[in-house]
This record gives sequence, structure tokens and C-alpha cells, in this order.
Amino acid sequence: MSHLTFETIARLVDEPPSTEDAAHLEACTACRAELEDMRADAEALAALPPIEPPDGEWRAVERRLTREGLIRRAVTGGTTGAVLIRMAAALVLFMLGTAAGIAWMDGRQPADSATRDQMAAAPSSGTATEPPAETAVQPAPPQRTAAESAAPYSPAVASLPAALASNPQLAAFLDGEEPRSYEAAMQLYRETEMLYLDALTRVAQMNGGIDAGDPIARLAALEAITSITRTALGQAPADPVLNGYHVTALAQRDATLRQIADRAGDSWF
Amino acid sequence: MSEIELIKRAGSGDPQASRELYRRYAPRVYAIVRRLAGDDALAEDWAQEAWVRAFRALPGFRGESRFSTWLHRIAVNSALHGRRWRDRRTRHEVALPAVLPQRDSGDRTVLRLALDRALDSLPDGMRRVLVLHDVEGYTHEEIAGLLGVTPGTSKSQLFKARARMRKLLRPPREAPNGEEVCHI
Repeated sequence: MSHLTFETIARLVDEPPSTEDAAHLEACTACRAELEDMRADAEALAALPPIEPPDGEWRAVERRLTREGLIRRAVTGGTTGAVLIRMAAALVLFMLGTAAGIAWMDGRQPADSATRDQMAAAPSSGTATEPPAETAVQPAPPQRTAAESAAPYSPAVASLPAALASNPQLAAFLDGEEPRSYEAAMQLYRETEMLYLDALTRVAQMNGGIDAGDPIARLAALEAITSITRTALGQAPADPVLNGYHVTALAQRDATLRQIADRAGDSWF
Repeated sequence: MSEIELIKRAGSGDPQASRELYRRYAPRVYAIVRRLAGDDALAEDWAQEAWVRAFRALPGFRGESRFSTWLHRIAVNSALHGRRWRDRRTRHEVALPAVLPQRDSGDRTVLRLALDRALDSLPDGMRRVLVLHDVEGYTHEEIAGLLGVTPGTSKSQLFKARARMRKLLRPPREAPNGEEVCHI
């Protein structure tokens, strides 16, 4: 018996059989079964479900649409959320960095009680009273530290309480109120980052006589570097060299933070 | 928000509406380009291209057809004509399960996976026609117009594709008398 070919059976899925094919199908159970299977294949193909696109497809599409001016720049929850997370991280680092300085100084030399009180007040409450005057700290002789060399700016804010007094938006954020726009969130993020860097630099200065292996000074320098590379990545996000610098600086910063934590006999991680 | 309102706002550049429109239709668009492409990398390129084309054309959408139909046609055109079919990597036959689940077993997920994998392993010409006809429901005349071939060529490719799928999905059936049936 000469059976129908697959292609003939495939045609019979859509088209009526010729007299000859009909006679064969009538007599051949195997070819009838094949035809039924092929019809079932066609039905299954028609019922194939949609496929979820890969993660990140919308981001890629959105970038192209934004570049072409087809959609306005989005202030998405995700973007604002990311900024808020970075802001919160900056504040936490500010507090941890200051506390680390205190803990490390306690372990290394007796700290001036006024200094310790001043530094402890700022991070612990966020609404601390105004610290003693700067002159009470008596910083080390004005020699240039690694932190100062790396830092491209002067400390802009004297302390967290002072910053809170002069910046109601920052105070509101610490009370749990979210910024109203992406721009406001970015501004707060920059201010908190400055606060943290400022505090870190001051801790390094207060320690005085910083040696080359001083982790506090190293942390300050690394923070300054990550600030610069982050800004640069904002302008060229895909640049592999800048990404490399940034990731390396972040990794070194985290390692230094752990080193400081270990020395202080405390663990924040 | 109604679809008409969503389309209108997306067409005027509203980012939230654009994202929502994408969210609603992305799986359907990706499915058609993925099955036509036969591989993930090509599908990602084509899906992005389809969306960019759709958003470019969105202000001109007049609602004379259903939006899904309009978008679907853009996706198909993006896949078929928007970019030259690039040279494929050498592809090996996909290893399919030796025995497919019985159709009445209820294991439709396995069957769907097997069908998609078999589609991927078809030659490009066969896959395009099979996807357009059997998966997407285009007529041979429509396919001929899209691909620039005759309806007869479309039919011929379809029958060959179905036969190839049949062989990929199942071993040849044994006839009751023991002889192999339906040799091609």
C-alpha cells in the first residue's frame, strides 16, 4: 500500500481531499491518524500563547523613544525610588561614617569628650541640638590629608543639625516625606552626599597626624572618587572605563568600611 | 483608562500612558516577532524596532481598525521587512522530546514548548509561512503580499513546514500491518 506523503496530508488539513486521496483515507487508518495529528498540530499552533518579552525591553524602547522625542522624559516611580534609595544610603553612610570615626578613635586614642559628644549627637537623632562651636574641636595642624587631596570641593555644610535647620526639605525627608519631584530628590541626594563627605573629611581631620594607611582617610578619599565617577557616569553611562573606575572605587570603599568596622569591634553588615 | 484614551495620551508623548500601552501589548508583539525570528537576539531587535515604529505612527492612528490588529501588522512588517534577515548562526537541529505528551494528557505546557522549539528549528522560509498562517491566521494571499511571493508558493511552503514539524515532533507512526507509513 502506498501511503500519502506528509505534504499531502498537510494539504488536507486545509483543503478537501481529491477522490483518490479520499478513497485512501477511507481505507487507511494510519493515514487518517496522521491527518488527525496534523490537524491537532495546527490547532495547537493557533493556540500558542503570548510570550513575555525579556526584562529591560521597555527600558531600551523608552530610551529610543525619548531620544527621538516621541515621549517626554518619565519621572517614573522606579527612577525616583532609586534616587530615594541612594539618598537613604547616603544618610546611612553619613551616620555610619561618623560613628565609625568615633569608634575607631576610641580604640586608638582617648578622644576629647566634647568632640565625641558633638559627633555622636548628629547621627543618632537627626534632630540633635546644635553642636559646640567648631573651635572646640581643635583640629589637627593644617596639613593636607589624602582626603583633602582627593576631595574636589570644600565642605559645604557645617553639620547635620545646621543642614537640617537651613534645609526644611531635608528635614521633611528625614521625617518620612518623599520629595515631590525627581529634581527635588536629586537635589536632596546631592546635599546628603555632601553632608556625608563633609563629616568624613572632618573625622579624618580631627584624628590628626593621619598616616598613609589610615582607613578613615582612605574612606574619605574613596568617597570623593566615587562622587566624581558617579557624576561622570551621569554624562557617559555606558563608558566602560568610567564604569570600571566607579565599580573599583565602590568595592574599595566597601572593603574599607568593613575594615573600619572590624577595627571598631562592631559590625554594620 | 479606556484604550482610546490611552492611545491618545501615548500618542501625545505621555510617558505613563506609553508604558501602559506597551505593558498591555508587549507579550503579543514579542510572541509574533520571536516566532518569526527563531532566536532570542533577533527577536529582541525586532520587537524594539516594532515598538519604535508603532510609537512613531501612533499619532496617525485613526481607529479604523482595532489597535491590536494595527500593532500586530506593524510587528509583522518590522520582522519581515524592517531589517534584513541577518546571517544566522549555524543552528543545529533542536533536540525535541522523543515522545510528546498525549494530547489528552493535559500537559499543554510541554506541548507548547515542543512546538516553539520545533518552530525555531525550521528553515526561515518555512517558519515564516507556518507562523503567519497557522499561528497568526493570515491567508495565503496576505502572506504572498507580505513576502512578495505567489499564494501557491505560500501554500507549498506551508505544507512542507507542517510535514517538517510532524517529523520533528513525533517519530513516524507504525501502520497496523507493521510497515512505516507516509514516507516523504
